Amino acid sequence: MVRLEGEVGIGDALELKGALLDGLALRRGLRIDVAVAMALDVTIFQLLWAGRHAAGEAGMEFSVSGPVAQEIVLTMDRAGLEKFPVVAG
Amino acid sequence: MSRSGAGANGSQVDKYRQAFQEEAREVLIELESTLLELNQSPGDSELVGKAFRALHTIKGSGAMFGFEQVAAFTHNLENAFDEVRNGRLRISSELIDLSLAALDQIKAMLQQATGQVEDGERVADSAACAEIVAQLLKVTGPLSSSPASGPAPAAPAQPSEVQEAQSGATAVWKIGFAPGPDLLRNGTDPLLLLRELGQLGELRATADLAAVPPIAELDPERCYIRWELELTTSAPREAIRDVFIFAEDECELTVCELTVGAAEGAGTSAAASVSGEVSGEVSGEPARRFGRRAEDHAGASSIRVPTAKLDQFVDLVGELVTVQARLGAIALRGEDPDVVSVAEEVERLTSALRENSMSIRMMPVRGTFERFRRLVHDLARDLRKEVELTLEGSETELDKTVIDQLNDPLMHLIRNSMDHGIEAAEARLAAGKPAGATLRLSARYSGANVLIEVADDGAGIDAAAVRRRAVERGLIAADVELTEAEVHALILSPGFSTARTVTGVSGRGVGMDVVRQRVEALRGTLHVASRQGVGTTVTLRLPLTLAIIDGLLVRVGHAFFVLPLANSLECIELTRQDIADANGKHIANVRGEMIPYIRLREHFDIRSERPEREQIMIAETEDGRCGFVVDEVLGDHQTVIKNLGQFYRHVQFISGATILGDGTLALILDPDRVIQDVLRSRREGAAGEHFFPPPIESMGGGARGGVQLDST
Repeated sequence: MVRLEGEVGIGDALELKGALLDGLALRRGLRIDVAVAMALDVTIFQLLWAGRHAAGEAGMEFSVSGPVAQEIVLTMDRAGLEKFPVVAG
Repeated sequence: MSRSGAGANGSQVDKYRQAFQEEAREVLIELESTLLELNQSPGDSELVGKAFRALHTIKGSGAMFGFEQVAAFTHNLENAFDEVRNGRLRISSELIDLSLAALDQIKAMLQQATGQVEDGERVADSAACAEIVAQLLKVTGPLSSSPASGPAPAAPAQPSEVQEAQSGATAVWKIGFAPGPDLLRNGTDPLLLLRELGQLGELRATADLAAVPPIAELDPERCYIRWELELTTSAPREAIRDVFIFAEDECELTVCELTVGAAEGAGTSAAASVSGEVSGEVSGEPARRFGRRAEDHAGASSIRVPTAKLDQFVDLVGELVTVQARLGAIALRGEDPDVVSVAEEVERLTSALRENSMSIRMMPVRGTFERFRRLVHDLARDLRKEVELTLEGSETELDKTVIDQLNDPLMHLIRNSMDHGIEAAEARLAAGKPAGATLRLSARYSGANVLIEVADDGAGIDAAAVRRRAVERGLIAADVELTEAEVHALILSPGFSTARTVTGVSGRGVGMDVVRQRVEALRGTLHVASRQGVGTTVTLRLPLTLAIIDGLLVRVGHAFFVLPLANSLECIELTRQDIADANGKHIANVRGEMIPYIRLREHFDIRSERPEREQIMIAETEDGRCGFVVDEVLGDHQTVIKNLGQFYRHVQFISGATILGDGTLALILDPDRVIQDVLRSRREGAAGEHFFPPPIESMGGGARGGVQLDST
């Protein structure tokens, strides 16, 4: 599981990419916990999207556990980004 | 597995914040110039737009990088210029002065944020900020979007709420937005731009993620998403463009109008198109892709490099030049053609590398020059004088090290000129001059030097007053004969000042001496030319670079010297017969021209046997042509200047030293200073005797007149 905390942005993107690749390599699926994330920037959204895509291609599960902060939901809406299926935390 | 990210990585954020601070300082310098130009041309809408965009950039980027105080404070000023832009407010000197005061506070806030406020630097003053905001509100009237000095919005506040209210025309805009590869790295988050855009009206966004690569290939600091946006707003096209002001160089952007709900203006009515179709021509201009900008950017991409790294790079190149000279010497001794060939190739590459590294250090003087607009503006106000500053040759380039140290001397010269040189308007009118004075700051190339002039059309130097003062101060004897140029040069003496009243501007009696010392420390010279009632021109002659020079290597006995090639004209032989023909005088007849010379053997007291045939290296100096007699001219020599250190700092005729291929030390001579040293020695030995004829002063076109050697 990858937990995102607080405001997560470009400074964390490289670390998140590594975490997602590690998760994919282990072939156990990707679970992203955003319950305590307050805001995400575009680098994080596109990494999550790429992670979801890679998991799908590999036949693995990809899920986001929430609740998702209102600010993040609003940002995704405003940017026309497809929402991730959120499971209970 | 559990990974967590608690906010942005600290060092990354610091890096972006630092980049913002550096860019903001540059924007502020340009903004200051823009404001001062606006003061002269209050109706120039282009300048208004430029000022507004600069403020918008500082505010928006400031908010993005956590400089909330900067963003909130700048917001007030931005609003004022938004009002000007929309024709609801006129530029006045009051608004310009308030804006300049606000800029000082913003600079101080940025400086404070680094935690490196040095002595003498301004500290942001919250009371002054509040006063500026209050005064701005008085000038602009209450604005709906003015947060006064309160906290900044999380995202850059949109500037055009007022525009929207007043426009009354609703249109649907189709906007294509594709961030470029460096947009994120430059600190712009596209999502914040979308948020700002959303504040202009109703926004519908469609994200296109087709270009996002597989995660393994994905560069996490690059945005691959493109957006197709539909915005319904009554805000004008300009307001939409403003949202992308600090991103448009880093993205592809298209803004096309789909429908026009009401007449928006003459320029748009003809282009109002059928609903649902993208109008290619709106507001009188084609819908343009900002791809052109992206192409431009690709061609002109640049990176910021810390100056310390640049200095280190140049030092290393300097060392390489020295090693290459050694290699060349060894190769020639060994006479192995392969080694000689490699040595020549290394020499060629080293020379190219040296040229390249030098060019990296070269910077236009514009940045330094532009700063003085503000100084002149403030001093003119304080001294109640009308002064127009004109800048010429701002594109002239100088070594960064020289430029860095140029600010203080120029500031002092300008202060002196404004305080002592330029008369009050009444005095000027009485003297038949226009009330407004002109102060000219110019730069131009002169061989391997740059000439920087500070020229005013003021009262000029009162030579009689200078002479009296010099006698009073014991600088000269009462009966000594001096040329006008020599009298003018007295103002460069330590502690000299004719100003009887010490003012806050200048007149403390140390200024010109300090200026001279600073300029000489840069291996430069200072020259004063003045004509009473007409004006004064102070000329700084500065070397293009302090690091490496092209020189001519010469030998006298066992000593080696380097003379700057830029000064060298030709080498001729000096025989004992020539000396006899001149009756022992140090004058050579060069194709009919009588050229004085200095025998380095005598000047440096080198005790070795004089060869039958000597060489004279003829050089162009400040005082005219002069010869330097040496035993042998060895040839060109690329010279890395090594400082001789504090111990030799008073030996002014030596610019530095260099290490030759075989490890021998050679002293780099400053021909002008050698001549001055000889002149000084002769004056002390025989008062009134002149090595050169007195220089002829000229005003206007240049600092100095020609030197008529044949009149010696």
